[in-house]
Amino acid sequence: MEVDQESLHASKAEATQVETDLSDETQDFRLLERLSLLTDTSSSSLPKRGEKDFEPNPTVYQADILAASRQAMHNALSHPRMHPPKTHALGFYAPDGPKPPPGVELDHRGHGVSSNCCVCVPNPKGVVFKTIGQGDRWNRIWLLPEEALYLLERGSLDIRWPSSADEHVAGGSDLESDLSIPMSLQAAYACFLGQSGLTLERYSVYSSLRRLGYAVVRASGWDDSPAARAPDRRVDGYTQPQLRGAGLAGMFSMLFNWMHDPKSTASTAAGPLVGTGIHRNYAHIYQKLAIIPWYDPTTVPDRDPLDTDAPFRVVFHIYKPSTAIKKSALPPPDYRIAVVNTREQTTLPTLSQLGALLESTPLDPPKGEKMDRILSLRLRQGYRNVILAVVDQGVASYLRISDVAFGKEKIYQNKGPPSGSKNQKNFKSKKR
Amino acid sequence: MTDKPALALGVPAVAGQPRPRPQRPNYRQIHRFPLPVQTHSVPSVIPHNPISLISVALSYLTFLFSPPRQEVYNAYFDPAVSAIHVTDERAIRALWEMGFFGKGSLSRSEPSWLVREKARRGQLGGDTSEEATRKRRAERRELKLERARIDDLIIKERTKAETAAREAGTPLESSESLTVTMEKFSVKRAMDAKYQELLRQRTAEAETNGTANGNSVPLQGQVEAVRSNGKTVRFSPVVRARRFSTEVDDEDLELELELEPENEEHLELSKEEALFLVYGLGALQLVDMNNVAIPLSSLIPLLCHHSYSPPRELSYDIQPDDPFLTSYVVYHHFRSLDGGPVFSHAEFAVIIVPAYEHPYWSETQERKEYVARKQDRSWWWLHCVNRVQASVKKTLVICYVEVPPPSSSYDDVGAMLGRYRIKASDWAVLSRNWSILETMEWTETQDSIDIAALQRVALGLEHDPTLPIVPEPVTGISHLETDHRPAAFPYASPSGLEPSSPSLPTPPSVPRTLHSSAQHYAEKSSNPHTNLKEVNETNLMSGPQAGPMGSAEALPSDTQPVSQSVYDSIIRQNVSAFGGASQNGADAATLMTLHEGDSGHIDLLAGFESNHHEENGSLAPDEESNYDQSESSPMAFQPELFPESQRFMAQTPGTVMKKPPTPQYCQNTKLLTEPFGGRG
Repeated sequence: MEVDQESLHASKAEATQVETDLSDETQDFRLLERLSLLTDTSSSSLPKRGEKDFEPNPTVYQADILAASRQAMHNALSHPRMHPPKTHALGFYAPDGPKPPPGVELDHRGHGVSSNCCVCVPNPKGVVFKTIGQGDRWNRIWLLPEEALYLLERGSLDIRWPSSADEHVAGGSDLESDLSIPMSLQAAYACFLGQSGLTLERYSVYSSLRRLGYAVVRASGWDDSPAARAPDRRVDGYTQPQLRGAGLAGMFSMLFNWMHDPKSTASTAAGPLVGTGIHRNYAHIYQKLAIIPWYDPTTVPDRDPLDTDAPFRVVFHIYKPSTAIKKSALPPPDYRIAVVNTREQTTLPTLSQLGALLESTPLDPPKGEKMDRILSLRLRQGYRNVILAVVDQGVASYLRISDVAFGKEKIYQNKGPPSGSKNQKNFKSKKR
Repeated sequence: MTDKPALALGVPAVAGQPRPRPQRPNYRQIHRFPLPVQTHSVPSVIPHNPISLISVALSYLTFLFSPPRQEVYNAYFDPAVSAIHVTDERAIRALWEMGFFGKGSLSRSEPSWLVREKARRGQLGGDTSEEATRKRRAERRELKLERARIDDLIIKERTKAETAAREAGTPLESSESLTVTMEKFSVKRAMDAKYQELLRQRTAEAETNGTANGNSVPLQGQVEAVRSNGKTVRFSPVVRARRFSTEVDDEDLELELELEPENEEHLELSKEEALFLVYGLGALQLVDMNNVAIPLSSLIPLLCHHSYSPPRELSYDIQPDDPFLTSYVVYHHFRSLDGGPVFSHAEFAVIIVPAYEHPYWSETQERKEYVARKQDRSWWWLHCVNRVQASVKKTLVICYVEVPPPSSSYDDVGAMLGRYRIKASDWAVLSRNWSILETMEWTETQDSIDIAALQRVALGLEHDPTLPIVPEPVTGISHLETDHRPAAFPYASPSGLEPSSPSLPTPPSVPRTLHSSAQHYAEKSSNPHTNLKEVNETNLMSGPQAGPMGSAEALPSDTQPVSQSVYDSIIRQNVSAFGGASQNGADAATLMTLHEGDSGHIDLLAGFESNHHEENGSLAPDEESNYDQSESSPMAFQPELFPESQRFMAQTPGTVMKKPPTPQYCQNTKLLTEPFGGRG
């Protein structure tokens, strides 16, 4: 993928064909013509996509199109990749973790970066470092394994092997960097995967999201340490629909119920639930029907992110490109993501695993005027949500899971007949 | 259920003589009771108004002396087919009209066989939904045959031209022109053209009917060549022959016509519905084949055993995780929230997954293994399920049902059901590749616009300060407010006991096509679902965007409008001949995404607003999803109705929900482009 993207720039006209289906070349040629000819702004005709060829046919025409697009793809892929001299950043591999610059003793304040970091960039250049890496006290940037690997793969970083002792970490002279040995991409994969809990699955999720422009940072659930069981949670979030209100109010309501339905034969044991007496209204009937306890996500307190079962725990926090990020003080993330390797975790999460994962995310109830108005939006938003990246042999599918509280939406309370207000309106306007 | 009224209409026009439109029943009146239980309102007590007390007392007295009787309907259980049948005509109507229980055994949902049969024999006017579907399918099939024929013709001509060129020794220059002249046949365009033709006929008929009788109208329906947008669509003789044969093949029905058809249809209740009606509402009595009432205590084991196929022996003990029990628990839960289907597309598909959280289930090794086996649902399974339900634009809800430990007795049904606990979670596949998610613009454009070119615009050139920034903050959703939504609560038919055996309790008549409000036809069809469409129409029409009808060249799924700034920058780029490419060559190391406010941002809304609402009417919604890019069009129509169903190809819900306010986008342009590799 990376290759494609980079070479897109260089190969000019040919590159335009790369993105589209190989069989769609006809429109692309014409599209280009149209776009370049489009000098008068008043023209209203728009480029349009034609029909696909669904099967091979014996025409030379089709064969030519195929050959042309293959060539275009080849041209795109064969474009050389290089480091632009302006933003050439040099990193040094530090297999033993962060170290102070040579000649500086580490004092009690430490170096100020995570001990999982393993690549040091003494002279960070370019905007990528705005969201990547952690600065230490000596203005160097330390990279986590996934960050270093991603930057190397992207062509933004030149990682050097440590040569003798730690001298290079000093990030000093050009002479030193010239003498040191560049790390190959293969070597980088070998070195960085497996370090401090970085799996290939996590890396592929990280890099694909990064490439899309999201800022991705590790979350507290990164370590696969066994679940830190919190003491018994007394609130399990399930309703008790059969309980009637206690105290005076409850007695009054019972009295009123009796008054309204004195010959109530309602029995939960043998049915019918609604009884055979007189029903005041449908809301009353629905209340009697509600005997199944359901989970109310709003009543449950937040859970410690570590009180979850790996791999169902949040490993990455994700920020949208529009979110302003300060590396030192990260805002609440836009998304939380858990990464699952389907070859290790072959089954869906059980209720407790999923419940713990969801409860470890903060309550995010549906808000806003639109949510209030549109029921289906409200239901879909849910009360807590998390994204599950299910990686199967390198292919990641992203699932958004949210708690739905159907039980909180008592439709019968704000609605009369099933057709509701919309038809009412309708029938008013269309009287016959 | 004329989901696609455009084609239901097509038939009378072809015959040249529109049938009188049957009056639509008042569905609001028919379905005014959500449950087959009568309510009797009692005047409320107003403490400071003594007269109210009197009226209350009076009503109580009335009820005391002449208590209203609750109607109990009869149904019988047929063990041979494990089904519950209702044959009494009155009961069928009552159960269907009050809560949409059951399904006609010969119909898709509402028992309408008799009406259909009468219509077939020409005794009734209107069309039934099944009839409409059949006609629509036949029509589509014809068009597809036609498409295949034209494709074949194009290939043949091209081969001929190529052979001729080869023999003449001239290079092939004609291929390009061939493509231009011989445009491919598009089913969608043909249907659109047909619709236009119908409209024209309508107006012509309206004019002529004022003066002369219908016979003076020339048979426009048989005009086979429909011109639209400069393209001619012709129907082949084969197709033509078949079309008219379907119209007049009822010669041997002459005899039948004399007889009043006998209703051969009955209502079939699902097991969950039957138990709910018996236990929950007391509105149904189940009898066995010998007309002996089945008591509730033996009804539950009976239904449990018959939920397996073949049915189990009655000697089996009922397990607490019996699929019927878990399924009923979920059904009851949703039904108790008034989950009755309404006149709209069901939005949720519920999958029931038993959960074994109770300590009992992990007590012994044997139970642990049993539970592990029961919970073994693979990701592969999930993807399959999700793919199926996504294709019908529903949101997948996985309902975990906590299974209690086995209990000795099932006599107290309420206590037994109360031990199950329900936790629902909504699962939505964002995408296999998140790249499609981030901006809806992307999704739309990837289909049709040369992205690479646009990318070069966005990446290769430095931002031109003179370039107008498109200040379009919206995420591609046109903000048409649809205030009729909340009333509709289309819980899905809580379908599927076990994923392996998704038995469907009453998928009631729900149209698939809320997106495409086929306004022009809403009045024509005699079904409840058009009510929605009419409301949509009023909404759409009153909106500010009602513009002139767009041409077929700008169908939403064919092309995406590009904002002017994109064109400008493309042109500028062409002029400067990629001057900036070399110095920024490596900036493309990462995939760039255009954002609102970026110079390359494609303002999809611009086009949608101008013409797409109009096209709703002309583009019949497609049940079989055969349009080439049908997935992109619903977004244009009614995006807010089913935002979730579109997010598979559109956006993370998060971006929908948490969109920051407008100005941020413009201010942060620089910041925005940064993570995408722009390091200059």
